[in-house]
Amino acid sequence: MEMSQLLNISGLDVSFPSYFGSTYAVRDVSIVLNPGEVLGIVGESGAGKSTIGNAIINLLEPPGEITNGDIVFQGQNICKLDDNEMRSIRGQKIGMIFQDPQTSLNPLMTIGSQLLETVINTTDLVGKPALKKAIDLLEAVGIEQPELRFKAYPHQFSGGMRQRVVIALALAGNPDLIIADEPTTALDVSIQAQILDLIKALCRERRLGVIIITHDIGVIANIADRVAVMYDGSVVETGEVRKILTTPEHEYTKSLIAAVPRGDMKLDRFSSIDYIEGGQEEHKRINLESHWLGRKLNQGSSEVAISIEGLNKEFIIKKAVLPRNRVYLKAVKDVSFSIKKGESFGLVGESGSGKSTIARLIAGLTRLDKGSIKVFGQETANKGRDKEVSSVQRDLQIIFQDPYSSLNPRMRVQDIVAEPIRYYKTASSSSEVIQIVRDLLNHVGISTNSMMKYPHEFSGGQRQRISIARALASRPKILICDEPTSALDVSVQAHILNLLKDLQDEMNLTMLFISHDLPVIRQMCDRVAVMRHGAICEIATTNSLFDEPKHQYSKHLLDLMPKINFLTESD
Amino acid sequence: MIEKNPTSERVLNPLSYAKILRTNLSKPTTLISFALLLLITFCAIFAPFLAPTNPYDLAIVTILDGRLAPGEEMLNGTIAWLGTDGAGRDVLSAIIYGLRTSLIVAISSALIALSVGLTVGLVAAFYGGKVDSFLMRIVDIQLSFPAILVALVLLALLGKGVDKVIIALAIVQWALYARTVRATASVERRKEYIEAASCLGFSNTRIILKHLLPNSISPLIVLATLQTAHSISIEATLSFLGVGVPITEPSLGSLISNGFDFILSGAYWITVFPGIMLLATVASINILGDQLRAILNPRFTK
Amino acid sequence: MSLIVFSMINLVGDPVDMLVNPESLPEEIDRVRQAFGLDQPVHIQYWRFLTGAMSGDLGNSFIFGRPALALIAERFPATLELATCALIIAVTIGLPLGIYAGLNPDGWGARIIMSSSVLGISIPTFWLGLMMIIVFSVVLGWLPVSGRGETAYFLGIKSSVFTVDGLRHLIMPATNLALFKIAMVIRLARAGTEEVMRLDFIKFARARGLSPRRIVRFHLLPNILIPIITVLAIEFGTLIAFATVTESIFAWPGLGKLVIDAIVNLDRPIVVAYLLFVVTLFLLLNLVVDIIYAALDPRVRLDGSEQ
Repeated sequence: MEMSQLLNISGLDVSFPSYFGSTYAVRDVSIVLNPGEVLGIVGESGAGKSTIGNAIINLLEPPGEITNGDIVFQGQNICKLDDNEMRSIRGQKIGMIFQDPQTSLNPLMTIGSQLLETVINTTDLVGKPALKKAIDLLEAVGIEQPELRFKAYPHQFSGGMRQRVVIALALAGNPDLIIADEPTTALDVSIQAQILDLIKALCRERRLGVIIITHDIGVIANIADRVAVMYDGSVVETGEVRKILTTPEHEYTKSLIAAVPRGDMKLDRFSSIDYIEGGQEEHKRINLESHWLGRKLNQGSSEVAISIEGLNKEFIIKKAVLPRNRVYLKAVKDVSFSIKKGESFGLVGESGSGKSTIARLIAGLTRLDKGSIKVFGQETANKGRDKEVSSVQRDLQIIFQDPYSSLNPRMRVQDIVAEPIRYYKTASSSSEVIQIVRDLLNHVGISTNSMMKYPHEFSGGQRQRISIARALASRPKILICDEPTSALDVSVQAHILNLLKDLQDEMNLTMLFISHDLPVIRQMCDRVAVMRHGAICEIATTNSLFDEPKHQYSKHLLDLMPKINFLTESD
Repeated sequence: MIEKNPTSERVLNPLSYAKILRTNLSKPTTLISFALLLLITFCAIFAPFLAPTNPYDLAIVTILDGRLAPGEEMLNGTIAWLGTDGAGRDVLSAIIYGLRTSLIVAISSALIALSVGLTVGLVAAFYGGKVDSFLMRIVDIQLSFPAILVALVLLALLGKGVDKVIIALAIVQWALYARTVRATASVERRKEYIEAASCLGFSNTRIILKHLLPNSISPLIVLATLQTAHSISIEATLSFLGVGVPITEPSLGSLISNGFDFILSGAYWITVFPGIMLLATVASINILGDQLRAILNPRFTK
Repeated sequence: MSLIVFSMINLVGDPVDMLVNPESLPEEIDRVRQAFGLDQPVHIQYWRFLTGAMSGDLGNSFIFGRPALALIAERFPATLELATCALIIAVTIGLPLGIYAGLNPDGWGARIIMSSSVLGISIPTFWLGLMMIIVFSVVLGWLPVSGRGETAYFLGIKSSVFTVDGLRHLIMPATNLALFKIAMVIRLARAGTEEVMRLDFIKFARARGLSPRRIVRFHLLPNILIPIITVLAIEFGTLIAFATVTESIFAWPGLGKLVIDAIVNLDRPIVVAYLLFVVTLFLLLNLVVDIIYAALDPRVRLDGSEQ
């Protein structure tokens, strides 16, 4: 059966000219897509994958331009067309959906009007037939009571529903090719699966070609037939998904796959991930007895590092003058657990489950309503600036999620790490302070000739390392990691998680690790608590949770874990 | 979540200021307005030495010199390059002295308003909750009244005098500074480096001064510049109406007001020249303010 | 509020000194004092003021001898007319120019528009008014120097817009008042346009193949109008206040001129009445702004209900 290619990109170059010279976002890329096929383009940030999507539909961010190559769609070379001619292709032949459904819709127009205008502008239908088509589209993407929801505004939908509306809009003109740029990244794990299933079903039904652009290998494994792996603007490898994931050939692909946390068993460290972030030297283990980090005397021999009981916290989400009219959100409902010294305890749940709130309560950043928190036996709840309490609270440091806002942009890195040392006068002279800072930065993998730089000169992964160094500067015994790698590329994540493992090992740190990502939890934690809507569903050791979950919700979460089963064959 | 493209974020810090300053000063409009401003400031500071005469020294001024056309000679031999007004004062000198008053009033009131507004805004943003609501309620109430109205009323109560004008303008402006600071500071407050500082156990004062303040200040710079221009305009307007600076003190506004009476009889210079100077001063400060805004909030996708 | 106003006014000065020849006999002075009720102790004065205010009587003007509130009510329509015309001019000229500059930011048109807008906010209103009089009335003789023209009734509203003579008198003061606002609207519209065009839903609209005209009219415009309208509604209050300047120059018989004179001459009842009037007006204006906002933005109007 002869299948004419839907899309054939050959030798594509996209460059961004600037005052300092041109940068190539995409270099010599060639990709082929057939009708009815799902092609995944996978890569980390800066790989150029979104740029390819924008280039196909000619919506590159200025001043980007295609400097070389051809994009042949259904036999026609479309990269030479001007904007007017492209307009008749967009929506009618090629549809595109973006990452964030909230910002993709005009907040002031009902979704019905947005659908209607698209139908009218991209097909020959008008009036009643157009209306019927719009409602049919809503039904096709799985929105119930479409006639009723027609008059609703975007903010009245949940995230997953909004993305369905976006898909409906992209399909309105009956296109033959859909480009989906990170379509599920902004959604919760349980919704992600639904949206991916929807896209797969629509693709098969309507014989669409789909290009799915993502950083998540799990998505690729789920939905794609073929995959192109991108790194630094070029395609390093293409082929069938199964083959690439089980027997990758290129070094980068191997590193990328090795960096993905496995959900089936716990490994000591992430290994063979050296292609990225330039092979790190062996982490030099420090001798805790002689090092400055270990010099703090250990107060209290309590075996229990953190113990919480009956923790409760609610937030007001609707203010009113009369108390009975106020609406509260119970973020944390009667939570109790304890963490042993040196243990690595995980807190897992979807967004809104209350896990971050618990971290902040324990750290004293938020006041709690009811309950008790004991750190090394000392009660710390709502104690404010009490002397005894504050010295214990300093034993507890947090690594935050967003590397772009966790460092003061106006302070040099050296000063950021030195501040706690200087404030608490834990060093004997200013030159010793610098020495300690240099040492700490080295220890986390930041070279010492970057000490005088500002945070914005570093990458996300490097900034997280600096945050870790800052946390270490107050010589903590407990480290709370609140989604420390969720905002990072998967390969960078692997390096940071390795670092955290090494640190915990050599300093005997107690760790509270918070994440929504089950495989990461598996790799990092000894015991886990599963949370939902503010309450704990189950607490178990990692192995028993993953092998024999007891609570319904735990089972649900485990089902949603991406099954990259064929990965387990190699090792 | 994927890592944000690092080039989509550019934070300004001491290193990049020099480079930006160089590229922006090369634009002709900026250069001209900057030069003009320097000239004006120079004049204002060195007024007594530069002005041909002191138009407010009652001993020298005589009505016999009144209404001389530009370029004519006055009784004591100096040439009135821009003419004289009804009472015999040299217009050029009066303009130079008037500019001095304008700048003093505008800058002093801006400094006072900025200090008060900055403090209120930072405190409101940092402590949040009831403190924030209370302070911002006061700010909102004040901001719902037009500046000129509040200034008028205040001056009606306080009476005339340069210092009273400064106080009135400061009272009019502080609320705008407070609201601007509070908006930026609130955003920064929620960022994780502030939480980290709390976690590390630093005192609230230290966090506000060392972490929150430096990161909330850049919109204030733009605001201060634009407000300075606005103050000069308001001061001139108030003096024109007769409720600002007293007639015995130099002011561009009262000069223009005096000149109003002479328009129909042809002595246009008393009104026109001070107005042009006023326009030039305010415009160059505004242009500079716009440039500052473009620098401090760069469009990243270029 | 009234307490603050009242006590402030009292501190200013003894109004009797203004009205009476200082050479007069003490008996004369006392008589004047008594007539105006100024001989009573302060708290009695305040009480009488309050009770009077409740029933709409805010005292008689010292200078005119007539009820202050009536004077204000009489002069207000003229100011309202001026301010409304200025607002309309500002929006009709400023909005399209600003949007154009925002859509084509690098073109020559945009540069000219933006430079003019800087000029617009820098020119002192009063000086410009004088210049306009010089050019259009004295030199060219096209328009009358000052005053308000004839008025006519239309739909129950009395305004000078409906007569040619009225328009000739109206055009200079209204344009003068509007100039600053035109520049402001241009800047607001341009900033708003640039910001909204950057947003994802515009990109998605383009990806769906919608025409540029449709995007500007249905996607861009509604999203920039809401902040602009709310700002303008508050600025309407400033227009009314700033009218004092324009009215002084063009001898427009409105509220502004009345108040300036009252302040200079320490005509206390008028100042008090004006302040109370203006406070009420601004409170109403703020309320209107909130209502407008709720009416235009569905996110405020409707609760976000999850499906």
